[in-house]
Amino acid sequence: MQSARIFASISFLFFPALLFAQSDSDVLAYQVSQSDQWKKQLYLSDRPKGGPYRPRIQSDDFYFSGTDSIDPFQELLQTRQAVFSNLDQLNNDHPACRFPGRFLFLNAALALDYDTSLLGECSNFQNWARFDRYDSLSVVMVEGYYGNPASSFGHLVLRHGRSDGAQQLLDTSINFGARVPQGEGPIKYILNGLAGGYLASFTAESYYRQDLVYTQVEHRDMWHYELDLDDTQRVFFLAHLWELLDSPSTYYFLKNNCAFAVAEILEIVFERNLVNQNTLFYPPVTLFHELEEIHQQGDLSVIRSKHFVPSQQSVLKSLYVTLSAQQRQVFGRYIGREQQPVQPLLADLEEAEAAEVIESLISFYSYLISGYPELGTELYERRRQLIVARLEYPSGRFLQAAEIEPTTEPGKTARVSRLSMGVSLVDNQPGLALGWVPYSQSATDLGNDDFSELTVLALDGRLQEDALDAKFTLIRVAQRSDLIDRLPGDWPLSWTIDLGWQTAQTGRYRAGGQADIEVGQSVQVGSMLLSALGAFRQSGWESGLGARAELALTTGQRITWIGYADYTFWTSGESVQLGLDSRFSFSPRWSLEAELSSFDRGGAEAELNAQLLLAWHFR
Amino acid sequence: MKLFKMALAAVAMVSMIGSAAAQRDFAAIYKECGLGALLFPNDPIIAVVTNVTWDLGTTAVISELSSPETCNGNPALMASLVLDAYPQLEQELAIGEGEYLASMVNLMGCEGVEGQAVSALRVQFADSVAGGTYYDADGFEKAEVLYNAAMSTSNQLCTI
Repeated sequence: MQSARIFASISFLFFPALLFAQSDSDVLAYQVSQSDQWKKQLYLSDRPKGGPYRPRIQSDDFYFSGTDSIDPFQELLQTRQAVFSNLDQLNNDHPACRFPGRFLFLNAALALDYDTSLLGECSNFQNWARFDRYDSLSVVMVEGYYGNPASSFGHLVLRHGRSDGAQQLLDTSINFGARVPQGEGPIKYILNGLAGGYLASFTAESYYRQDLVYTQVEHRDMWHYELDLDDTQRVFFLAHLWELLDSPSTYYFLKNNCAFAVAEILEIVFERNLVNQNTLFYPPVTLFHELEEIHQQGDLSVIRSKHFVPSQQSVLKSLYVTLSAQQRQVFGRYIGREQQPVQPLLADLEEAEAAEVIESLISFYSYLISGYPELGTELYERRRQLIVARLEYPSGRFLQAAEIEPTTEPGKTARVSRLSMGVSLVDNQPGLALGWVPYSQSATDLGNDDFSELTVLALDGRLQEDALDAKFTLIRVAQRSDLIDRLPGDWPLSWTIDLGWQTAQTGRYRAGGQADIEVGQSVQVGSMLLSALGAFRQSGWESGLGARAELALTTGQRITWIGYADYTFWTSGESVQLGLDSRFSFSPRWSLEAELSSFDRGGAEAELNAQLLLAWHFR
Repeated sequence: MKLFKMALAAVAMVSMIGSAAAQRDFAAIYKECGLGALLFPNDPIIAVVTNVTWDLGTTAVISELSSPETCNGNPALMASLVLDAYPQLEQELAIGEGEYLASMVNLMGCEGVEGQAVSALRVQFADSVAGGTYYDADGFEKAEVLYNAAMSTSNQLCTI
């Protein structure tokens, strides 16, 4: 208190607002109002040239002191006045029930000593938060999905439930998403999402809905990171979240998105920096990287546990591989013929074996119906017949899924934005190589289990004695799907789309625009993935058809090798390129990348290219 | 569709179908909670998929409609679960166990008698799914029947 008096005596000189301060409590209020903890709860935009703070929340009742510009001190004073008045008449309409997070924060920060159990009178808040049943909060990473452009980088939701995981489907999920009108077209959706054309807010619903969408319909794996919050932190987190429900702000797909919004709350709770307000891009996986990094620093535990939730497709594959050869034969015969009862096909099997086949078939048709409803209503009838057949057997699961190998935890994969620098040798000319990419999950990156790739807006430069050559990659998407680890009737394709432009000829690419489209298949052999792909290539004004053979291999989790051979028949002749890309990852932040290739065109002397880069993965 | 319900009524035990009031309850909950099929009344399954697939936006619309005031309590949550996850429940009832089924039994208030509740539901479900009219029934009607069976089972064995 002594320090507060000293502060008060000199503060009038520097802070005009304090000219109106009447007491020590106002001095303390001013101090608190200038704290990051308070300002972050108000969601204020930056102050251009020292101007007033602009509110980011676009709701008439979120701020007490105005709607156009916000002074944190005035907002605190008016909040204090509203929230702590008439507490003997507390009900759901009272400001304390509307803003329980501010009640808790100011009560502690201003040392007001009100009984926090008063919030027990806020029945709507209590019914929503379910403090009597739930004691755990998790951030859930849903893997990327190319079926929806907005989901390419993955998605993040919150799950509030029980720490023992019981009845997880009935937990509450909290989702931050854009308010998109029904029937919005994808192009308009993308443009509005990028340009701030939608409002977004937190909404709550049962967690099973997330499970249905992501694991059952879209076949996406999920990672749950349970946050290591004590009771005070958890209650504050939920109280603050309650204030934000249906309080919209402008949605930006790249920045004010699901991960950014959750990270902003966690900043308040953990009192650590998790987001840079000036960042242009905050993909969901970045929050997991930040949490993992803080946790591994050791002075603050932020992760209590992690668990992997496989998609319905992964579960079905694991069910299928547990079937015996004879059972798989029956399985194949049933799905290969139209409309026939399953029972005659089961005649040679023991009761348990027969029940296992039926269970796997039910799962298979459920997978088809939920993921591919366009396949037709006949599937419903076949599934119904199988259900009727299964009901003739005793209750209880016969077929147990084989253990499913989890994907790499998202927080332990390579960070997605990258700066790289190194040396190059192109056609015997040495040079300096530089690279920058805002988002890249490359095939050789740490924790990229299936060698797939998504790179957006990459810029690579090469400075040689007499020239600066540049290559711009608009987008490169590569999907590699194992042909052996597949479901019956499924022929998973491997494919690549690579669109870009470059200033000088390198290897098979001429100067100008370039496009590669490859389609083929891959086979996993041990830890190796072998791919054979047909290719259409456009390089400058020249077109070509060709083929690519590729071998990808990860050794010791940290080193990835991709060897390849490209043959292309161009309009001007044939070319062959052989190459080896490799990366050693020291950590999610640092890696060393080496590329070596030989290019031979029409019998001319082969061009040898090599590059060694140190990469800093910074986001 | 009427045939489907009549067939069910014929095979059902006293507890099976429940009262007309219970059926109205399901429809009322369904509408008040703004579930997807409200927008696509002819195909609830497609409606649910359509609603939830647009993962960054439409879920918000759903939960706005599903205000805590109108959708509080186990019966409402169960109605929502049964409609949304009917294919999962169907599959797990056939097998006799599973996460979705366990969630439904939990909402039925059947702690300590889960096995009995599942057995009772499974018998009733076997009767309905084997009926010739089951295939023609739409998702809403199937869900309504299962919801009513769950409610009556709960009334007999559990405490919803």
